[in-house]
Amino acid sequence: MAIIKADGLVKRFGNVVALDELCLNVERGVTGLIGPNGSGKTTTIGIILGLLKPDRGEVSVFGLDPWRHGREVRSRIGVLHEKPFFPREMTGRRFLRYVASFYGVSDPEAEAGKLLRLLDLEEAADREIKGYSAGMVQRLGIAQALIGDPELVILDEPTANLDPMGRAKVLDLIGSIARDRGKSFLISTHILSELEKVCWRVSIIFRGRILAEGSVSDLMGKFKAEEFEVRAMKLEAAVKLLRHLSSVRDIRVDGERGTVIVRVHDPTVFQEEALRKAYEMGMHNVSINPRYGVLEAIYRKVIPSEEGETA
Amino acid sequence: MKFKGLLRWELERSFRFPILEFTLAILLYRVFLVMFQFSAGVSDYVGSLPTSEEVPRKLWESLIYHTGLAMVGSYIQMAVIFSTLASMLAYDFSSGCLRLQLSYPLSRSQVFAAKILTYLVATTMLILTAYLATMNLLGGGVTPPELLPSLIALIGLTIIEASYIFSIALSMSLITRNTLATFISSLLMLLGLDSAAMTYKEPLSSLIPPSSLRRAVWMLRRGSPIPLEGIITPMIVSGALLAACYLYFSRRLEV
Repeated sequence: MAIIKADGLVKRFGNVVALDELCLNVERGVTGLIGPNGSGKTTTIGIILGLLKPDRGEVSVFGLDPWRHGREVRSRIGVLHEKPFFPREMTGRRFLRYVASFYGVSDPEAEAGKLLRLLDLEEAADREIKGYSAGMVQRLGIAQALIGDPELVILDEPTANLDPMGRAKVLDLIGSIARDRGKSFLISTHILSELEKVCWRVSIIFRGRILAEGSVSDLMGKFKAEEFEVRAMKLEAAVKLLRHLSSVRDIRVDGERGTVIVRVHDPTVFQEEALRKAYEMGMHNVSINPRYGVLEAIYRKVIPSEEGETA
Repeated sequence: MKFKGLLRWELERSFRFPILEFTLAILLYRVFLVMFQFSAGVSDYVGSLPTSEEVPRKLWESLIYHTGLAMVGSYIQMAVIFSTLASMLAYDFSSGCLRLQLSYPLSRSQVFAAKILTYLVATTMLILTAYLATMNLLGGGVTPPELLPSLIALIGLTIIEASYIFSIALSMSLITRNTLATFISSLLMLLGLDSAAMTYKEPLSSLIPPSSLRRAVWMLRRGSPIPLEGIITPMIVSGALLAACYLYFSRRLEV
């Protein structure tokens, strides 16, 4: 059952059409909302939270209209906004205590302490937020989004400003909360390689419309990777081999990286054909991998090329 | 519990804002005005009637004070108050604070009420601190039996003035969402209302410098220089503005 269902949403800001008949279904689990800048992700999140009123169309979150029943809807949602504001003069612990009181948590102090530990902010808990690094602020933002154990957590660019270890930890945390505690996440991000580690479903938004939506495996089947990266000990021999394959559309040698970029007609046929030929020719050190990650490949297929290149 | 927490957050946040610096600035400005340059003008309000020999000099001083500097002085003070309010209100929008607060399970009425109360306290503090401090310097000639009712009257007048000023700044900030635009449009609106509503001019001129405890006492007596409609008019204006702001905030505002 969909926890968020939007049908024909239209939202304009002056002459700018932010959402253009957007239809969205977010089911339980981890959903990625991906699209280039200005595609309508933040506007969609604003409408889901009842912060923006759609000009036309219908939206329901947990079966409720968020504009009319904003308080009820938000009591079941935790959110981290992109470039979040937090009261700079408050300590992290104090801020989380306030947020816990808004969610009606019976012991705000304990809830704040638990989340500070979970996000590795214990040492900085009693320092003013203005003294936090960008990564610490981001972790505080994730902590406040998890307060009150909400059914749905909306994270807009959750790994921004985090170092590689911090990113890995946050992604592990999202995965474990979704898996073990049955919570749902809606994650908007540009870093597709990270998103594909945790998300179960994807909605691709472009110019205010959802262009593709579904589980990652469904979309992989629908939008198969067309470009592969081939590595071999003897690059020239590999090029010669690839030129004779019927499934290959064209090839390009990337001399600097020592790889061959291959565009194919049918990925499944290509992989079988290439590996068989390489074996027959005694080329055992050939590796064939999709050029892009799963989500990036889907994204590049769905989003028109000039936008996809910049994403 | 939610509202109490929100109110505490707002108070804590707002009073970390340079509101104390602004209060001090107004205070110093008024002390300077009263102590060094315009004590003669102010003494008209707190001392005995001038003698016939003093009248020409008093008239001249009053002319300068009331027609020129009092107006300038009043609006400088208003400008400081408006700039403080404009910064605080517009900062709510520009910083993302309002978006954050409205993302929590709080009703818009709760958020609005918490902000109104906080800013009203801040505005009253800005005005009252300056009044009380300068009145103390002047003495004012108010004897103890009159002191308590005088202070109550003064606080009442100050709250009316603060509501009036705050409601103007709030309505302008909701429209412009920008510090400078809120500041300029608030001052212009104040000037416009000042010249448009004659009944309003009376309470404003009685509330801005030179105010005194004696003035506050007068409003409790017959023959008060502040007519009843002069108090009611700004209350109605601020009530109407706050009601309009509330309706907009709770039903239309998008962040």
